[in-house]
Amino acid sequence: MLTQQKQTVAVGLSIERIDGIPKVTGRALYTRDIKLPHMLYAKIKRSNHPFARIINVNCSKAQELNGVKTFVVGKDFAPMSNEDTPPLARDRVQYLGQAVVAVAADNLQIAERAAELVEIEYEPLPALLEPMLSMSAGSPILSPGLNNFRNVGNYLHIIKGNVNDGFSKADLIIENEFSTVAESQFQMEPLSFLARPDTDGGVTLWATSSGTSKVKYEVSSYLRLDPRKVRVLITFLGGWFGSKEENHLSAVCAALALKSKRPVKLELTRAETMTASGVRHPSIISIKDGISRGGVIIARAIRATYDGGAYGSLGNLMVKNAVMTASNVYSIPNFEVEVYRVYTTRVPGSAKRAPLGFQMAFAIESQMDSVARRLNLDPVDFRLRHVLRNGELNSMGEETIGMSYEVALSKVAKEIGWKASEPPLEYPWKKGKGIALAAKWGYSAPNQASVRVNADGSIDVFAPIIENGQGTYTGILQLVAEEFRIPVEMVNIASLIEGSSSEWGIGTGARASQQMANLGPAVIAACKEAKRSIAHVAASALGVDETDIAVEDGKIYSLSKPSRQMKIKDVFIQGSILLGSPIYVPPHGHGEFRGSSTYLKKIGHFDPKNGQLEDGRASPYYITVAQAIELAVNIETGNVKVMKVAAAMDVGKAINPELVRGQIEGSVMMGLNAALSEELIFSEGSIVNANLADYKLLTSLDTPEILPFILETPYEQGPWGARGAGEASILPTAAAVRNAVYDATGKWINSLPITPEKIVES
Amino acid sequence: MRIRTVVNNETLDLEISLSNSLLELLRDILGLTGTKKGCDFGGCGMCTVLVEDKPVFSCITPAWRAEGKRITTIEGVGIRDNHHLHPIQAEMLKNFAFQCGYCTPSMVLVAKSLLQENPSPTEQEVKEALSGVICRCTGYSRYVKAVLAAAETMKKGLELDI
Amino acid sequence: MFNPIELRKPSTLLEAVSDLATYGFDARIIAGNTALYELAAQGGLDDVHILIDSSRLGLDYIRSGTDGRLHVGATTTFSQLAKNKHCLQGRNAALGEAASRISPPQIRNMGTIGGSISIGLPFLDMPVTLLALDAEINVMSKDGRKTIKIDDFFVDYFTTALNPEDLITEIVFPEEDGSSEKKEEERGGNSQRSVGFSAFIKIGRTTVDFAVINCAVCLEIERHESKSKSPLVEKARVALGCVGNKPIRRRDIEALLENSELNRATIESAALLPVDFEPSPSIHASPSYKKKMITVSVREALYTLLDRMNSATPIS
Repeated sequence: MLTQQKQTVAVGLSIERIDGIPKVTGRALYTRDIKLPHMLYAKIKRSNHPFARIINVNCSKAQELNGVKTFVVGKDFAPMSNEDTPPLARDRVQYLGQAVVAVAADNLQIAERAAELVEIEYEPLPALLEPMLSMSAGSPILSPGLNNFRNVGNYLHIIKGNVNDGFSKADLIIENEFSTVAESQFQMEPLSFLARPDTDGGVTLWATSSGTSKVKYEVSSYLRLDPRKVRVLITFLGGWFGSKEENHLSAVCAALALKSKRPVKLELTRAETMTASGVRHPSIISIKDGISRGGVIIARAIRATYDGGAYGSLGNLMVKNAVMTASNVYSIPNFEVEVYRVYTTRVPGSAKRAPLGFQMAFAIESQMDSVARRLNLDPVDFRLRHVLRNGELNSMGEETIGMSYEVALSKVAKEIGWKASEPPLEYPWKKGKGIALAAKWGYSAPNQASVRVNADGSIDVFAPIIENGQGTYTGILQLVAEEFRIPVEMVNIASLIEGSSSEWGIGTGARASQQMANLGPAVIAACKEAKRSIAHVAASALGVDETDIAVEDGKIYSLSKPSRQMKIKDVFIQGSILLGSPIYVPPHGHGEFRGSSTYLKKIGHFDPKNGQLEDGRASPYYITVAQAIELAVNIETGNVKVMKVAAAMDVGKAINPELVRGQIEGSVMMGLNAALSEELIFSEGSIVNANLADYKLLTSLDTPEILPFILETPYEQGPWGARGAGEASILPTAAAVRNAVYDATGKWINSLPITPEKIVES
Repeated sequence: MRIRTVVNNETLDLEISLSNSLLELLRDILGLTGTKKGCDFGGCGMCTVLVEDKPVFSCITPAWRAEGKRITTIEGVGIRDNHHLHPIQAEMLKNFAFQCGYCTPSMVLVAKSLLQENPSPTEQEVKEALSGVICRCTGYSRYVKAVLAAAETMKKGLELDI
Repeated sequence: MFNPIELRKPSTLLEAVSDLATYGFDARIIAGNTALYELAAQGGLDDVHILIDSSRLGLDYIRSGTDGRLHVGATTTFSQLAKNKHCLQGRNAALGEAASRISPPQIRNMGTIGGSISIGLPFLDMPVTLLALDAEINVMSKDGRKTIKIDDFFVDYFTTALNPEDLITEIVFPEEDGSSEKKEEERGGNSQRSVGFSAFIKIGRTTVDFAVINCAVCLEIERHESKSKSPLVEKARVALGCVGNKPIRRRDIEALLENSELNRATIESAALLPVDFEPSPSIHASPSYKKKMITVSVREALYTLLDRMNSATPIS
């Protein structure tokens, strides 16, 4: 309580990134930058069929090549009980580009040549490249256990009220279908892995992955290794955005290293990375609204079909993203959402910033505008009429807490000059404004942290923190610095090994907008425990009660009698190592001044019949986001120039405001890319534009003015009230663009991306 | 084959292969890993280095083209010390210009080349100069802001020198 | 697999053409190298074992010749073109414009004018521009020098009129004021000469992109003294890229423009002449969209030219 009344020393301040100097000088090490002596290079032989039975794999020609060391194939890996994605295909391939054989050789050229020489005999099967085909009767089943489900791997259904009643009472029905396409995460660092066999039969892995725990679990399971013998190091990541969730190449690299008894480096090309990372799920989402005479939506039915591609290891979590996005924001008395994730023989649908939720938000926020315009109502007013108020139940029967829909929407509308009348642009440019609103849920999982107090008052943090650019290293250090009220420079992440995140403790890593919200509380609790352990020793020295002691800025003092104080150093015992300088050790009986904590926020249960919440909460928190976009459309060419984006996000508390603004800006830019340009184009299951000449990304010349606004409605259990910040701001962007294009041209484009051609030709 | 080249002001005699790219020369032969690989064919800009002060894609520049040329990589910019960053680096840090850092070396180099040729660029000129380096984390605007700020700092520095 | 075994570094044109004569199909001239590795990865250079470096041949120049024509060395980079005043004004303005629209800057610093026409890719910006500007390609081989008219230069995807032993030395553009000796003779030595203008238009999906449609137009108009009169078009060259296996000329539009006054009505009717061919589809655009963009780009080019003519200082 006391610290909250004081001026903070770290939390809420835009402290420079602690990883800034290594990055700006090019010294920051990424997995691709690491080499080991006697290292082999690996190359993967990939399937050239979308769907085929593997008849035979013949490595003999490749084996003859000078410098080839070893091969691994699908049967070298144990099948995992709850996951159906094999690191290398076993009996059949289910998408074009799937990894089948891996080879390790003295150098990359030999490995590449060897991979070319590997002969795989296939018996092609009829490909299932679209969900509708895949779901049709008689289609081959793509995953064991789906026989009765026609390749629907995951399904969620939420029912509130009775939509059919609602539609029959409605005065107007408006139904639209929206579609989205496959996109690449296109993190700038292509996937890279390095494995070193260890003397105990285990392996040390450097992996471009989003968390150590997941890699450790996967690799030890696939290779039937004692998990304690799988050591995982995660260097700085050259972007992430979901690209490292679905690949299981850590296990392949580790298997090659163990088999060859040499370190092995596996570096994917850009084109391989675009396949191996999985793609954003293509989707078709239809929304049917029943509207009353008064202009209120009284019934809404959403049916969403996502193309899950060949495998589905995170499918359960991802369909949850879709229903969570659909079930919040608006209060609609009769509501139903059905989400299907369907197996096809395409590149697996994977995580990309707000997976499945992004598609859903595009559909819903597009529908909101289509309905509002049809009713001749202002899209902002129409949304305000429907938003959930705090205290109301959302469509899953969960109480709405800490949301700021009205504030966020009004803020961005004001900043973009929503109702301002402005002079028209010079022909052929037409100006348009669009708005959208959304909410992102917060994933919950256990996280562990520990801190150790040193005699000089500095703090060592041990935690499975992953830094992929979002700034969590800095943010976590700020939490610790605040607890001890010391400068951030006095806090050190001691669990880093050679600059890499280690598998210290359990952690969710950098995914699903939750690292700060889940790891942060563990870190703070650990700090508090460490302070209690100091107070325990200091109490007798100061002659006060333990509870009367504060630790601040390297000092320990009595709260009631502030003159009674001592330095942190004084609770330590001075000793020396032989003739060296004095060192300070914790007193006998305590070992060290340390605090540790595991944090887990439990999630409630759902009624399987209607998806209604039975107890607890569906999500620990939701993040409100609203965006308003001003753009210009060249009505001759269809080119869109986005001029301004006002983006509000309620993060609860910005531990480091500039870093949070960075997340808003980056999400908006990625959303604009998806709205206007990004599309993986397939031909017979093969990606035909796996390069930057044909897969267009926006550059500095396309960037608009982005105005990020941080809202801070506290999330009670969050560190200082913080929620996550990584993904939410991508949710509204594409719909806001689509709605602005309508404002400019009078054309509704219901499919992403909104290309110049679609604008001209529609 | 052997070539003589100057990398970050150091004259080097190097043994290279005819098929090596300049990127391979820098990363694999010299161990200068600040220059990154992002795509394979000059599309993303991660591999940007300066040849005779002009930005090029090192991944599609043959290593033998370095013969007799002056190459600048990120390792040759500023001094690797907290207090002696190049003004461009210092402003990028101050403006929270980057996140994951993978494109940052290239951004620093294209900015350096720009400011050398044009000490007072407009915002549009900065955007043009940075347009060959893709950044996936940010909205680019903080990079632009940082380069404009660095231009100001450098002009002041120049005045002080005079 | 691309596996070069020898690098030739000729320092004179004679050495270069001798190398080309010796190695023929086995050799490739290396200029900007911007496309080489991608071609190699696609298996297009498996037969190439000799690389011939063109950077020591002294071919990176832009100069006004004694013949009054603009001479651009084959290894001149796009950056050089984009900055040179000769390429930014009058009849050659499209050259500088096209060069500056080639993106991003790193590619402008590397890529060369000679390389970008010799590769034979119909969607690049230089081929269409040179076609509109009526450039001539000066070529040297062991057998001597020859000149290839740009109209004869492009043949098919990856195919030009060059033989394996040919080296492009320079690209020559007609006199900046557009008139040829012959025309002057035809007019019986009349002092009235024509003046040339050109413009380049590129439509892409994003700012840094290859063209979906690129269009270059060069008009030679009768030199006039008053701005009040619409300029009279004497000669027109309207070129389009991205429509087929090579850049093409719209001779129907050219015919309409020639001997007409360039004004709003002429521009509209020229731009709206039906596109009576089917542009080749690409993953970037359908034929239908390309057709519309042809109309848009031709119109924009012509209006740009009219503006330029009107703001040009009348010279008596």
